[in-house]
Amino acid sequence: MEEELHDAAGPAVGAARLQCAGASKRFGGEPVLERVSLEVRGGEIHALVGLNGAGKTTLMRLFLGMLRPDGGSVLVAGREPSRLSSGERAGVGYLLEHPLAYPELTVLQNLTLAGRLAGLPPERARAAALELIGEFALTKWEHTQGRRLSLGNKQRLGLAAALTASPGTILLDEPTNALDPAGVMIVRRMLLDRAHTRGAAVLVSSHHLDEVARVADRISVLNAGRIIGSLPPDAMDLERRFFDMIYADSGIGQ
Amino acid sequence: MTGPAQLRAALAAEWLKFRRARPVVFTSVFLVLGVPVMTVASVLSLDGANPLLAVKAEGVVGAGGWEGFFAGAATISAVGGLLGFGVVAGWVFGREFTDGTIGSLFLAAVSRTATAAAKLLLILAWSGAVAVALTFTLVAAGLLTGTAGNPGDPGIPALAAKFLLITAATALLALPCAWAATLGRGYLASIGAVIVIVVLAQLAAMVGVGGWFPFSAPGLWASQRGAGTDATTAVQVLLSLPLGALAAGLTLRSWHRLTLS
Repeated sequence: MEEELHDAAGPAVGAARLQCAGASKRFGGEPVLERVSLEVRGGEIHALVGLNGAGKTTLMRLFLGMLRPDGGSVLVAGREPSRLSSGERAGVGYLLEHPLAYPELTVLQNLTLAGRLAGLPPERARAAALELIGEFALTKWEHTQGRRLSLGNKQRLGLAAALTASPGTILLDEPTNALDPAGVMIVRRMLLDRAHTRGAAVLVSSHHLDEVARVADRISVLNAGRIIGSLPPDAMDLERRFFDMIYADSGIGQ
Repeated sequence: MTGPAQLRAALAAEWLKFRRARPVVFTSVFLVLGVPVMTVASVLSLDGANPLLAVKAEGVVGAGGWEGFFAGAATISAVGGLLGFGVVAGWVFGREFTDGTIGSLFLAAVSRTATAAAKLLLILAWSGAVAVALTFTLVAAGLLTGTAGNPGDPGIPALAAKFLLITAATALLALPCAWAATLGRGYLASIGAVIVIVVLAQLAAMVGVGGWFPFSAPGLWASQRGAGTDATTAVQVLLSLPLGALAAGLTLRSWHRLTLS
């Protein structure tokens, strides 16, 4: 996509777009997140890595305003998510769990709808949809209904839907878990393009150090609701360091 | 985006889904064709071979004629309409939770309130169109089958207008299903709600307080022969307006304040 990033969210590229400080969340008295602090700046890919149940999705939900923190602060473009204006919300693209894939609509219709919801006028929404269909190699399924798509293609559709308005802030929760290797490479290319070429702030989560986590500029490790440290993205033995960190924090012998 | 621009975009997005939705198509056919077919069948069973069915049908359509024909249709529509309109209202809101697409609506440029308002407007517009179409097919069924009696009956327009009002009031009474689907995070909750509403409406009518129970009022008015009504009945049926408005307001409020745990 040649158009500029939709950076109505305010801060200039390079400024912190996602910030949380001491964010905590409990479900039924059980702590799910405890005093989590992190920030993601424009032009940066920040990977959040942790085992299942570590709190990655909950943190993403806090950033998207789907949940409210019990303690601490969670800010998107310097504001609480529930206080973002329509234009500011358009500057945030995300894929969390279920993709925007209405079963009765085709891939093109779903993406056009996503563009309209992101504030694009009809013609631009359609043009953006067609461009993203090309980028995510969905051309063959352009007129296929959502109900007939494979899980992997639904995930590609959800990723494309998150990017229709060229958001300056992108949150992706385990974006490659249903993708084949070709799909993973598309996501990897997309992340590098959006963050390093166009200046988007990207927060991406994963339960393991996959190809996507490996293109990150920063890797934070989340375990049992806490950030327990970070990993150098260019280290040779990332997988082993990751498990060392998890086992040490959990008090488990290797 | 300005508020009106958000509503326009939301209406376009919702219309794209609404016009392709199978539950909407099935319910439209069920109401527009099903109610006239059941009404004609009820009238025909008056003279049928089965005396038990004939007695039952007489309770619905009375002695027949256009008055009985419309009274029978309105009685069927007051219950069937509640089910049909309730299913669609609940599905339109509940499917976002059941399909998991609610997450994608959360931080969109088009606010959740605008999306919910667009859904309500489409439901109301569709309900109105179904009520009008059903009234026409009902009159056509009566004329074509000859089951309603004299085709030149001067009372037909007034009876049709009463039927249209009963069907429209029923559609408003189904709006709480939209709120139930939101609170229950899925359309199954609205199916439960509509069943509870229908049962309560029947119970209220049986114990004699139905007229002031908004969900029973259209059905009770339907069972009164003729096109006219007294002031009390009119007020009772008009209670569907504040009830529908209250349900719509609560649904909008819930969507505005929504969180997903």
